[in-house]
Amino acid sequence: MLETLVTNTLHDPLAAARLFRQAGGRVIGYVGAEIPVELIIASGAMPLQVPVFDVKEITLANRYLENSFEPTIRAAAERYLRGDLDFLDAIVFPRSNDSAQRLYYYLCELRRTHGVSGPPPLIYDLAKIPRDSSRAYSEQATRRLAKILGVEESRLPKAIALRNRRRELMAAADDARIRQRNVQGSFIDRVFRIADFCDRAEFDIALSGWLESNREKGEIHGPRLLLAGSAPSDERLHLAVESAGGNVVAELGDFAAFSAQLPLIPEDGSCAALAAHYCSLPHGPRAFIDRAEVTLACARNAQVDGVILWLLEQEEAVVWDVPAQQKALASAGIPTLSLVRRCWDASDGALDDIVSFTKDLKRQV
Amino acid sequence: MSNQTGQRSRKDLKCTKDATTFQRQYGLELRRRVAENEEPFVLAQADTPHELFHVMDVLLITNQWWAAYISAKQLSTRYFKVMDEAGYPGNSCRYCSLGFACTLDNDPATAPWGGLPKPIAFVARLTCDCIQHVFGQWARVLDTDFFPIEALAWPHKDPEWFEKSKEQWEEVYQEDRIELFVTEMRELIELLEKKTGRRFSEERLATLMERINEQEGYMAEAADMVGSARPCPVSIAEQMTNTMIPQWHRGSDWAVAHAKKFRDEVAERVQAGIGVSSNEHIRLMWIGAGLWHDTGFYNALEERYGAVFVWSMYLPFARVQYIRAIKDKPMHALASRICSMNEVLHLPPWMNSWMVSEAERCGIDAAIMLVPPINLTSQSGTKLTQLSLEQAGVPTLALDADMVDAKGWSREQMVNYVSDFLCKAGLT
Repeated sequence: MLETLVTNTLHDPLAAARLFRQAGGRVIGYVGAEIPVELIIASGAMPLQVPVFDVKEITLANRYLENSFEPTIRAAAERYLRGDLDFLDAIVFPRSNDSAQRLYYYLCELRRTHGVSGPPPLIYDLAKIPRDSSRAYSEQATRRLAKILGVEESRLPKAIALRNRRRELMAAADDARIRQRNVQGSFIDRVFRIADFCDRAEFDIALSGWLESNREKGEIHGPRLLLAGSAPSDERLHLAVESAGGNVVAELGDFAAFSAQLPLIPEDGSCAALAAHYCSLPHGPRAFIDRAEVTLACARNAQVDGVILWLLEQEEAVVWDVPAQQKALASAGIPTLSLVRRCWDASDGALDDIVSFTKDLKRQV
Repeated sequence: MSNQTGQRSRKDLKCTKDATTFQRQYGLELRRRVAENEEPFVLAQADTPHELFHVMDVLLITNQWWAAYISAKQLSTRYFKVMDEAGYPGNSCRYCSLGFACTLDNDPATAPWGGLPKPIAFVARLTCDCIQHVFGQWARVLDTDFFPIEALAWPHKDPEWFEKSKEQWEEVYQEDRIELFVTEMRELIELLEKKTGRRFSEERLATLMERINEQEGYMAEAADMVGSARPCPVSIAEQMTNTMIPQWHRGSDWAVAHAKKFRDEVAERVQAGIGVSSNEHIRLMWIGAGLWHDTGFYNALEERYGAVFVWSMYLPFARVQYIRAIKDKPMHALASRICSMNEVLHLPPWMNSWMVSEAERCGIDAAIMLVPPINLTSQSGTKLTQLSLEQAGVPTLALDADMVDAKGWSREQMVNYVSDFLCKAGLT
């Protein structure tokens, strides 16, 4: 059932949202991991993570976006400008990602002066500096977004509970990969990627059923890897590892799988708790974390044999932590393949490098 | 200013020499006080509230100024290599990280001033994804504080912001954004007081703000004359020098007096009909940071086509982003000045609407836009601004070049490139 849902959703990632809209529901799109999806649920709308993995050709966005924009954001812009998202009621961008927040202003301007249609862009003004003033501002920003979306705070606890349930299911799937060692990383990547394109209940039921049936499966052997850095648009890096006899058992960065490892949000349902949760997320480029320490902890938790650091050419933030990450991993004796300034589609030889690295690990393991 | 490859621009104004002489002396004095006397100083980005440091007599080294200083000492290549060897990939923001590279190199024999001592704090507004990483790591290496300032979202998008920014700054820049900025400034003041033992005075800030208004008022008058006079009385290289050097010292006696002197000299030239070129046919706008490694480029098209760069952002920015009605709230007025300083120059609708308005005010025939490679903040807004200018009838050319890194730059090729563009636009 889950496999079918994955296949169908990857074939047409907007289908469920369109159906929801046709039935009279509201659909709110969002970009990135630092948007409080709970607010969208509490507003009675369906949340839709804007899909970018299937945007293969970029033409319209290139007219307006300069070459340093992150490819995922460029793909989201293309989707918007093509009119694919016209059925949405709004689309929320995070201020905590520079490319995404700039796209918010670009789209507002294109709507104002260039006759571009499409859902009204909104911005979630998350202030990530770990200081009381920023935390208080983020709480205000959360309240502002809640008001714009039409959320009644009394409906928040249920929305948070639903989202927590999703987190628990994903954490269980992730745990199967790490502890039971019987799930392939490419499958988990696909499953987690479609999670926010689907009808919520349908996905959760399917994942729950899959977790039951997966227990019986046998262990996957071969080197275990952590994939850290930029999140690729699809599972091609995972597949490269698998083709060489290895398995990606954990990801670190703006991956759906990384969210699964994060703490739940208190279900008393306050904007303060929501803001605190999103302020402390370690995903994005603006997180104030020791990324080397987090990388090492993640590698140890997943008991990996090697780490792949894969970063896009357009990545301007996380790239600053690469030397420290390399040093920390080397000190711990964990082999690392560092692939920085890379193409989004991995057509620059990255896949071959990954295959060689995995094969070397396999010989060692 | 840095990585000089071409000839320097021609200097016509007496006050230009005064400004550069002052800055040279100031540099020597700063070196003496920071490197020899070990006086407390702050290392801050250009778009931070320098006024606070001035009020507290805390020495300031601006990151961009320090980077330019390093470049001028021909040390960029060495430090780029240091970054490479330390494992930092080459697409890292070079302008912002050159000083950090100098610290990492840790070689007093080659470093300017023998290397920068430990500042009491690093201060940056987080206007891009990378600066918190550069400053955070730099502060860690030197074992000091990093004080980041939020660069908040700005949903109130008023395309005519530049008409209202002086008086209606609460509305234009949004009260909630201003309030957080004021709170953050108070937190920064607390840190500075703790580290220096000095006290901040809001009265002194109010006085400084008045003086800055006076200084920027002179600059605004000069900008008006430069825009309306035919021929253009001052080259943009001299506009930049006479604006930016006083801007680093804004509100000081020297800066106010210099701004007045500059205004007067511009007025004299206008009255006497003296122009940058005796043959002005085409009025050009330069969009982006100054081309510091080849300021002579700006003069290159004058003789051939009578094409004169008459506009860059530095001088007219004084009116729209610096002058503030203080309204007995100097901290808030200051917050409104700084809290969107980068955004108005790099994001729509602020950037493009202002540029279009300025092109009209200055009778611009064509615009040349600097688009540095692989740097989101510097590139941001350029395509939409190009479209806006072209819609307003101003042909616009994007130049792929860096403001400090001369690698790949060829004066001759670029002049030919611009010539072709002007020809295609029917201007030659």
